[in-house]
Amino acid sequence: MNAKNSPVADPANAAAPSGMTRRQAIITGGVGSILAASVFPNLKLHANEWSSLPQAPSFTPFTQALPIPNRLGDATLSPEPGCETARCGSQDVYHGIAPEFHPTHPSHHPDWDRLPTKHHFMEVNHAVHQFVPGIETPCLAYFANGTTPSVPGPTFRMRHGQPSIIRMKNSIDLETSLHHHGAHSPSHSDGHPVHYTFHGECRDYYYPNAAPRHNGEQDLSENPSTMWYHDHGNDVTAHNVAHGLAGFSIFTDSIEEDLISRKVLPAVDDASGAQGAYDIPMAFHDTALNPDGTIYWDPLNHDGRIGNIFLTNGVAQPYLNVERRAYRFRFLCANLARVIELRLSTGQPWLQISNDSWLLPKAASVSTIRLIPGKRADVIVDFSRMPEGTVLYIENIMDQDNGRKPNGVDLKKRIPYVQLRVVGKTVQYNSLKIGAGTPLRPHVPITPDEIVATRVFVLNRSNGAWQINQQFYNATRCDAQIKLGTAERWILQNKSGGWWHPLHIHVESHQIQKLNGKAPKEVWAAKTDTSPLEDNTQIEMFMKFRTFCGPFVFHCHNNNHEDMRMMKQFEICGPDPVTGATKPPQLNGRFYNVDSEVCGIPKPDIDANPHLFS
Amino acid sequence: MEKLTLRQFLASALGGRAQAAPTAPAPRDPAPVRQSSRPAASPLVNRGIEVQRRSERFPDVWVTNQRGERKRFRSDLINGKKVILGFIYTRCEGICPLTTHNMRRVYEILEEELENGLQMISLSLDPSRDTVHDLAQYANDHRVNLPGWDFVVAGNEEDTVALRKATGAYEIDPELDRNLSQHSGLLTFGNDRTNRWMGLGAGSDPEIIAKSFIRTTREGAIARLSRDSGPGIPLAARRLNARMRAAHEDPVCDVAAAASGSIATKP
Ligand SMILES: [Cu+2]
Repeated sequence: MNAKNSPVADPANAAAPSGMTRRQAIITGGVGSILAASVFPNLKLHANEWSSLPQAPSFTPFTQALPIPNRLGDATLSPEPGCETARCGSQDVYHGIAPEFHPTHPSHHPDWDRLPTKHHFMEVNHAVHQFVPGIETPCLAYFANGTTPSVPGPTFRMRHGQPSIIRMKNSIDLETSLHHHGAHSPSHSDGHPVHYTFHGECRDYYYPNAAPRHNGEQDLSENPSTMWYHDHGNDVTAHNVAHGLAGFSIFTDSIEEDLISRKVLPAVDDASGAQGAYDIPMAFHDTALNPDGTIYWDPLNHDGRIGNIFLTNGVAQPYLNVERRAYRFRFLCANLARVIELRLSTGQPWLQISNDSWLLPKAASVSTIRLIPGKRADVIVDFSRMPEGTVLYIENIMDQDNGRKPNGVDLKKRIPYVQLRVVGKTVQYNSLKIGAGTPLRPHVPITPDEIVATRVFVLNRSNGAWQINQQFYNATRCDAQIKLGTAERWILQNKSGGWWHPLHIHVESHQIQKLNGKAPKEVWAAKTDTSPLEDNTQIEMFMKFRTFCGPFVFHCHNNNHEDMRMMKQFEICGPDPVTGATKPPQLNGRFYNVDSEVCGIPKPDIDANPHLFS
Repeated sequence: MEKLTLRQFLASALGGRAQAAPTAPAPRDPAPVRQSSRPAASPLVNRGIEVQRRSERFPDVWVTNQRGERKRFRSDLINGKKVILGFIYTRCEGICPLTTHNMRRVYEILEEELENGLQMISLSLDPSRDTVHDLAQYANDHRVNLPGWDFVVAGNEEDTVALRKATGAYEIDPELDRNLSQHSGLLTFGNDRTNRWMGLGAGSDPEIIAKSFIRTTREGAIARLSRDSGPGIPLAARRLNARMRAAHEDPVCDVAAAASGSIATKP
């Protein structure tokens, strides 16, 4: 990809801070943007450039309002989750439900059941969506119960203490596995790559929505705020995410509700239970389109997929009307490989309130926010001091032209992602009582004396692919066996020579101790789920493994690298639910027998033709 | 030209079908084109615009195999087939022997696919030195001079580079790109009929490569696979499952010596 493929002709114009006229706005759309987008220019191909993208279609940016995905509504599930006819191997719910769902399971704490479980239904199917106005693009989408599909998918809305079950049906001819990114949930519900479903099959994803325990009590410091979900199927994660399979998941608890009632944060929900008017999720995703309107997808681009059309909530360069008051924006980098660095075109700093899933101990003022693939950050922006009619932009100032790594911040190549239009006469100064330093979610640090083991994982390049500790991922090999309830120190080193690897660890938050030998900056110092393994970077982290036993993975979140097996599997081991015995020690690096109920892949004696499993 | 309906189109949209990118260079060799015995899949059409299949970016250059037969890379080896492509150079002392060894094990697992036209290709990265004789010797030495498996060398360096770049085996860094060992560990496989392709490290476990191959190249709805007693899952996959399950239960199956770093140590 290069500059001439960019849909934005002149970033200097695009950055005009205020008072922009409609004519000027059209100019920012780039060459030929006045034309309806359904007409494609003749495609000019670069005869010798195998990696070049098809030219982005011309369109007028900032003519589509930013869509806010609907919430995933409740559903009546039949058969009832967990009942005899919805068990692993059953006709209706072939993959069953997590064993932790059953109150008899040793991990299942009685306080998980204080509130009735909420039921939801989602289906993965084909859809047609307009990423660029006027162009019908076939894609994949999550369909909520009886509603039209959306890209991103319907937003999960969960609350601490109230369990949720999502019955997911796969209606496409590819494997799908639903990963709830940033959540603390059972192995069966985690979206492990090989716990996938085939066409026509259902799986009940059980989320207890309980915090891990600390000294016997639930540790609310671990409760998340902004999570997301996306497909994690073996071999097809990159393909499926690039074709639309991702969405938001918003979680609250008593701490966040207290912040909302004290007007530190705006309401998450409106009166009808829809997304609150001043709490705006924004998923950034870059894509590219073929001349026929289909999604450009190169399965043999192994460095990582880069696009030249910049979507926010599934729409290329939308606008958002904002009132003269403060807002919470939830940023999600749903790119496969593109790293973004976001700033406001006015130069006004962000008030960052979260890192990945977790609210920060204290709000922090930052000039820009760097998001690697998979990462989230919530910010507060106050528009009360901007005159009505002000137009400003959320822009990406990070330049990147291949999947390996960005070239660096380049203001000349900045791209406006979202246009913000300040509207309305009413001014609400101090609509939120928050500023730099305002306490948000308390943080409970893991201390060095809790650490029982140290592991070193080195990311390396191997003859055209990537490995961790000189090995490719193998789902039948346990790379690290961890004792339930213990804390470990992990040292991750990127020695892969030229690639950045956003590293995501499932099931638990990690606490970064040192980044290249130094203490991390304030917003990185508490909890993280996706760490920036830039080239020649070393990160030392503490992690505690609680609540759930079974296999989980950690991997590069450049989804192309992930599909090429840049992934490792760890198993958290605790007492066996039946015998009470703890698994034999030292499975590290050995093959092991995956428990059929835990992974939701029926045993051969249940199914005469067992699944392809690897 | 046959146009697909939207429904057919959606059904075919699975593999990340369409590609719009550079047209591969035409073969320089003036020899007449030999008709491929396999039909290529239907064109990919949406909104009345036809776009390229991924394989159309593979150059259709002439290559010679270990039996001295001249073939056109795209027309004869790729068009309408299931393919596994690896790279070698006969003087390689690095990963190539492992690549070939693992390809052989994949070949054995996928035996029955061969009857359905699986094409194995080992492409020489060293056209200036590798001769037909070298390729034959190499194939014999590794006991892989087998039907359906072509060890091929292109006519020159330029064609070779074009072939590997078009199939995804390249480095953006020019210095790394010249280092042949950077490419010799990549296996590329796919099904030209469904336009689905994938790449994996050739050093991966052969059974895992075989399973990825089966998943990536399968055709038709998989809906019935898990429950019907009919053909369902390809026989190879069923055998593989049985074998892998048996392996898991065998406590001595510790073939992957734990990488020293990942073993827990005292803090
Ligand atoms: Cu990576």
